[in-house]
Parts: sequence; C-alpha cells; structure tokens
Amino acid sequence: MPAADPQQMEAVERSSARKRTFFRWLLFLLLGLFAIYYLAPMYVMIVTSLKTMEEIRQGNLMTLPNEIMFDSWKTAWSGRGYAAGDVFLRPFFWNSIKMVVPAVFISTFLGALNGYALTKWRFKGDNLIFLMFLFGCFIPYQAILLPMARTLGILGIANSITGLVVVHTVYGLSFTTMFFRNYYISIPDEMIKAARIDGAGFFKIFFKVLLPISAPIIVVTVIWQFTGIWNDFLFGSSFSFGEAAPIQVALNNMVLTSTSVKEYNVDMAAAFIAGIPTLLVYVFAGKYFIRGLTAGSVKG
Amino acid sequence: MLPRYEFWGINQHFRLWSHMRWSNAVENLLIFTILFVGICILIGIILSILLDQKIRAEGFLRTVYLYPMALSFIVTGTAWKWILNPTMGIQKLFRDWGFTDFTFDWLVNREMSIYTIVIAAVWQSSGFVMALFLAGLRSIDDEIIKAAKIDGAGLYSIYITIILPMLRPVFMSSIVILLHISIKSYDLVIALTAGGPGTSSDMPALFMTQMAFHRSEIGLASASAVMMFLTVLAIVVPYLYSELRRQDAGR
Amino acid sequence: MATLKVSNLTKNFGSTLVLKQINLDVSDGEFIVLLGPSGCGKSTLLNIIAGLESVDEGEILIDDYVVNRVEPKDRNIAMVFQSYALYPAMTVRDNVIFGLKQRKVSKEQIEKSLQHFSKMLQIDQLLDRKPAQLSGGQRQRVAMGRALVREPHIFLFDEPLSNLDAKLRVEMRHEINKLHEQLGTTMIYVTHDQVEAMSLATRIAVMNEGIIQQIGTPQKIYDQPNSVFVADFIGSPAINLIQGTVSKDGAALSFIPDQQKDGDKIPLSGYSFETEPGEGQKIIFGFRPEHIRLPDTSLKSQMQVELKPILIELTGYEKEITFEFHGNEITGRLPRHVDAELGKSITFSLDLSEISIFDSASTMRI
Repeated sequence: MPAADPQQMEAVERSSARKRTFFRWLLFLLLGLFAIYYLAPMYVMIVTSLKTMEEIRQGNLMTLPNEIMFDSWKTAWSGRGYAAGDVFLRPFFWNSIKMVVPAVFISTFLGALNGYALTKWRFKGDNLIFLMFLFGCFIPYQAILLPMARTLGILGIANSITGLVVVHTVYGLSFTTMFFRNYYISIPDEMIKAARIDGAGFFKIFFKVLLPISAPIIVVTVIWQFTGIWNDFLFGSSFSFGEAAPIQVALNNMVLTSTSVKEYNVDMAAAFIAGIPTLLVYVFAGKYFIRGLTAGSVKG
Repeated sequence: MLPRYEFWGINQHFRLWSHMRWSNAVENLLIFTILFVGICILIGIILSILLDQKIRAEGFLRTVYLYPMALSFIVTGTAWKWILNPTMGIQKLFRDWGFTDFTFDWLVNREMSIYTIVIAAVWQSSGFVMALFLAGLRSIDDEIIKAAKIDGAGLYSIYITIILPMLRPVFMSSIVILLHISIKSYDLVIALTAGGPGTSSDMPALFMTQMAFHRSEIGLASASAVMMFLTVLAIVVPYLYSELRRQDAGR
Repeated sequence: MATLKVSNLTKNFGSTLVLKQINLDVSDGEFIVLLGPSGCGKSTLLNIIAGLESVDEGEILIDDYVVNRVEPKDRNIAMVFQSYALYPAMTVRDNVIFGLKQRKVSKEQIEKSLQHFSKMLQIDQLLDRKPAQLSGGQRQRVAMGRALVREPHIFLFDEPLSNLDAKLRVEMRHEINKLHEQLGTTMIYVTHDQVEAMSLATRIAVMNEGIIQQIGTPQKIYDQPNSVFVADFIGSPAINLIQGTVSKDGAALSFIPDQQKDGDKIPLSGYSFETEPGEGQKIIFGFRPEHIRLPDTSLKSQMQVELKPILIELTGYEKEITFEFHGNEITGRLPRHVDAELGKSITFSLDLSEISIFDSASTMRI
C-alpha cells in the first residue's frame, strides 16, 4: 500500500460522496415504487367502493369518485332489503366473531398448557410429541378435510359454528403449542424448581408463576390465531353451509352470485369490510404480528 | 355419500394419475410454485436489503410492505379480480393513459390465467419473506459488517459474499413456508379464477375439494389428499430434521 | 507506518454527547490504549478513527491528512473485533485473504502473505476449516491474521481479548506485545481491563464520560493520576482515598483526616504540590495499598502508623489486609509472612513519597 497521497485521497473522497448521493436517491426511488405496488390495490378497493356503478363505467381504476358515497358499504353490510336471495355480510360477520372468540381463547389456553408440560415437566418422548406438533403446523388442510367431516358428523356438530370452533381449535393447537413451547423453553427451569420447593403443584405453577410472565407470547398467539381463523375459507366452506357460514365464505358467495348486473363497488366494500378486523389488528399490533410470523418460521 | 369400506386401495391412485384434470392441476401447481416461490424470495431479499440501509421511514414502509399478509386470500382474490378485470380493470386504466392498444386479458385467457394467481399471491406473501429476511439481517453481528467494510468490500459484495450466505437458514424457512402455502393454495384460486377459464387454472387443492364435495368422488379426493400430504411430508420432514439438528448443534 | 491525530473531536448520538472535545496525538509506532469503563466513549472513538462512525465536529488526521470523509477501506487501517467478526460462511483461508482480494492484490502476493502470516500466528494448519470449527483462541488468531495480511499502517483493536478465558487472555496479550515489537506498527487498542492496558501500552488514555481524563505512560498514570477518577480506576486493589483538610503550621503543610480522633496529622512535606493549598482547604489524600509497609526506616519520607486489621485475605503470594484508619476502611498489600491477627494493632510505615493529593471540590490533582 502506498502512503496516502493527498490528491488521490481527495479524488476518492469526491467520487465516493457522489456515489453515495446517487445510491441514496436510487434507494428511495425503489422503496417508493414498491410502496406504490403494495398500496395500489388497497387504493383501488377503497376508491371503487365509494363510486357509483355509473362512475365506475365512466372512469378507470385510479379515478376518484365525484362524491364520497357510502351506499355500497350499506348494501354490502345489510343488503337492500327487497330482492330475495340478497346476500349481505352482517349476519356472517357475527358468525365469524362467534367462531373466532371461543376458538382463539380455547386454542391459546390449551397451547399454553401444552407448552408448559412439554418444557417444564419433561417426560420420555416429549421431543417426539413436540415434533409431531411441529409437523401438525404443516399438514395441508385438504388432508384432514374428509376425516374431519366424518368426525364432526359423528359428534353431531356438522354445519354449525360449534363445529368450526372445534376444527379451528384442533388445527390451531399445533401453532399455539409451538409458540408457547418455544417461549417457555427460554424461561429458566430454576424458577419452576423454586416454586416446587415452595410447595406449588402443576396447575398452581402454571397459573401463578408462568402465566403472569407470558403476556408477550399470549399477545403473539392470540393475534396469530385471530388472523388465521378470521381469514380461513376452506374449513368454513367445507363444514358450514348457508346461515352458519363465516364471513370469508359469505364474501365469496356474494362476489360469485351474479343475479343481475355485477356491482363492483359493493364487492369492493364487502371485501374491505371482511378485511377490516385483521387490518386493524395489524395496524395496532403490527409488532406482535411480525413476531408471530417470524416465530412461526424460525423455530427457537 | 355413504362410504363403502372395501379395499379399493391403489386403484384410486391409478385412476387419479390417469385423470386429465389432475395432471393438468399438478402442472399448474408446478408453474405456480416455481414462479411464486422464486419471485417472493427475490422481492423479499431486495426489499429487506433496501430497508436495511438505515432508512428513517423504515417502520412505516415495513408496515406498508407487509399489510397484505393480514388480508385473507379471499379478500386478496376479490380485489385482484377487479383490478385484472379484462374490460374495466388495468387494461382500461392504461388505455385511458394513452396506450390505446394495451391489452391485458390474462384473467379470461386460458394460456395466462395461472399467472394472474401468481401476481395476486406474490402481492399477498412477498412482504412476509421481506420480514423474515429483515429479521435475519438484523440478527447478524454488526462487527462482521464493520470488518468487511474495513477489508474494503463494497456494499454489493458485503451482501453477496458475506451476508446472504449467512442467511441460509432463512432461505430454507422461507422456501419451505412458501412451498407449503403454494401446495395448499385454494382460497385464492377460488376467489380469483375459480380454476377457470375452463380448468386452465385448476390446482390440486381445488381438484380435491371439488371431487369431495361436488362430485362425490371420495376415492379420488382421498387419493389426491394423500398425494398432497406426501408432498408436504417430503418437504417438511427433512426440513424439520435439519432444523432440529442445527439447534442441537447450537446448544 | 503512520501517525494519527484527533483534534477537537465531538460526537453526539441524538441528544447525548458521547465524545467531548477529544484531542489525541499518536506518533508513529506507538501503542496507545484507550482505557475506561463501559459507556465512556472509547469504542465510539475507535470506530470514528476507523471511519465506521461519522464525525460531528473536529478532525481525524492520518499522516497529516484529514480523513473525516474517507471510507474505512481507504484509510489503510485494519481492525480486530471483540466478537472476532469472522465471516462464518468462509474458510479460514478465505477469511484471511478476503481483504487482499477486495484490493485486487495478485494471486502470488496473496499466497505469499497468507503463508507468512499464518505461520507467524500458527494458524497454517487451520486454513481449510470454517470458523465454527475453531476454538476461541484460534478464532482470535484468525481475526489477527486477517488484520495482519493487509499490512496496514494502523492497527485498531476493539477489546480483542475480552471473550477469552483468563489463561488464553494472558497468552494472547503476550502475543500482541511481541507482534508490536516485531512490526513496530502504530496500534490503537480499546479495553476496560487495566492489566492489559498497563502491560501493552506505550501510553494510556484514560477515558470517562466522553472525555480523555489523562494521557501518559502506564507508569505515570499509575504513580501520578491527575484526578480522583483515574486514581480510583487504575490499580487493584483500589487506591485508598481519605477525605480531610489541610492544616498549615508555618510553612509546613499537613493533612487532618475528617474523622480523626487522636489528633494525628499526616505531614505533607514530602509531596510536591502543583498549586499549594490554603489552610482549611478540603482535600482528598490518596495512597496505594503497597504504600503501607512493614516498618522501614530507610524510607525517605514516611510516618509510623498503628493499624488494626478488620479483614485478612490471603491471595497466594500476598496478603490483602483491610484496616480501620480514622473512620475509613483502607487496604494494605503486604507480604504473606506478615504476622497479622484480627483486632490486634500492628505498627507499619506509611510511605509518603508517592502519595497523591486531590482537591475535594474539583477532584483534580493539586
């Protein structure tokens, strides 16, 4: 290496400064373009839902409505009230709520219990059982459709919200167990040992020692389960018909039933309504949402 | 549909594989998987590296890139079905902008319909790969990057020769998860093309539910479900095995 | 070979000032150790010298050229990190020669340097392994090799030994010392370990809260610390510091501990003040544990003291004894054959020739 030559150094300095500004601009350009790519469909959805069909025919995807009208939202939510076979979302939205709340609660609770047992009360073959849970995360829905249909039939809860709660709880258990197992394994065993010496039993330790420090993973799990169950279509469409259907099934039916003229504004309003709950969760608890996604993939 | 419990066994699999619709569905799945996984990984890597450059708006941009993941495939499909609408969608937009010959009719084009599913699926899932890679990038020891800078590596070669090879586990996880998504992809196809036009965008998952619930072909449905299950098994078991071994080595 | 100059350097992270008006002049071939507690800004200073952090105010000069806006790779420096920062996906060989390849050095030259330095560091048997297959000490050697092959003008070390166990640490310390002697390259070394600092440095810069408190040879820093902070930070067991006041008796100055009971005064006639204190001035009187000695009349400036041990610890070669002294606990470092018993007074000589006196208000040496 030659000793620093001032002139050469200066040239290096100037060119590297110029390069830096250039790359900075390129960086922002690319980031901006990607942002547009992800945001455009949302923009189109909202704008379309606010237009009248006349405006939709006249303009294009990007044109703004002349006047902001929530008529199509009303139609999507509660129907027009006259046509027979009028499909609208309100009852199905509540179906989804009635399905999601118990399914999330039960699967999270059982997952916590499983995770606790698998990490703090080690037994022979516990790792094998965990491996099976992990594998359960990957079983394609289709593989359990037929056996599940039989089981629901035998239990007498086919085509009911209760049936869907059971299906989602069972299928979700793999994920919730994995979340809690990976969280509890990082909690020192000494804490459990201390509690046992102090005289606490299996459930007392779980409720008094572990659950109070599980808030972060509970949030992650609840969000994961909520998003997954709310967004599910396959189980909903396979195990429920007509009035017991959850919202995603209703949305799809609504878009598919083309009794008369296609109403794209109503479709978009309906799609947006069906997406609102998960979007809200994402906006307000995005951090935990991302943590769930990454936890679900990189097993700790 | 009362099941008859007789051993019909392997015959169902012969029936399955000689079924035109099934081989068509498998072929579509292959096309879809290769494009979907490839493009998602590519976009995910690019976005994560761009976001890793100490951007002030990083939090906001990350939110924007990832939000489609919060939407269901049905919502995604409904929105894209409208955007890709051959008369009033993106085609009209470009014609209004002055490209009067612009034609975009993939949604109703037998040759191209499968690619519309790729477009929508990439939109929905690529942010997820970005999040995985960003988490991976953030877990890399800062000193390694400093060392490479002092060693004289430019940003490009730091990423290519040092950082990306360190993210091999992230590649593995992303690929396995994307493969899994693509094998079971059903909702998006239903909402976007319903397998059409004709059966041009049919997929195994679609085939299976149609056989099970609409055609009462429980045998074919089961055979196809078993096929899907075995495929996932073939991908996931080695993955979980290597993942667990890696963890044991790390302990 | 190179000189380094840091002038009036200031650095903020947001609203916190991490470096305040740093001035440092390093001549060619020096081994400077930046020593201080964690969070004192020493690593930030090193990163700025390397070009990994930007300068807010002031200048960095290498060979009299301002390098504030020069990229790290163009500064002709090499750096060894605490975590070793080896590239995990590359073999030892590729790790070591990575920098040379980036600089488009010829193949033959690369091979020659690789052979030379890998022999020197005894890593020539490990060249085909991956970092994960190496022990901590081996990784450390590879990290040094990677820095050495580049034959930089300045070496930067960021706490390179703190991840090693005690025995290896001493071994590698010797190794670094030998390297410096062999190569004679300018070296800047960051550590919080005073033993490393004392044994390696030609000069030590003691830092605290973003300021260089004192720069000097290890001997100077140890014997004449310029502030209470430096006095207290250097030396183990720590220096004994006693609060008190100055008493003037004609021209003769003496020290009266705050909590003294029996009218004892400690004469300060053997101490050369930089600025002479006034009567009644609050001062801090400091002496190191080894200045409590077995009675010895040959010392040129001393005082007899009666001390009662309240704790006796055998450290192997020595005894560390804690005494009660005018309401303070002080530590003495004595030969192990000294006959000490708890609660039994012993007579010692307090060596007054190497004491330090600080002003209570400013905590600076006077």
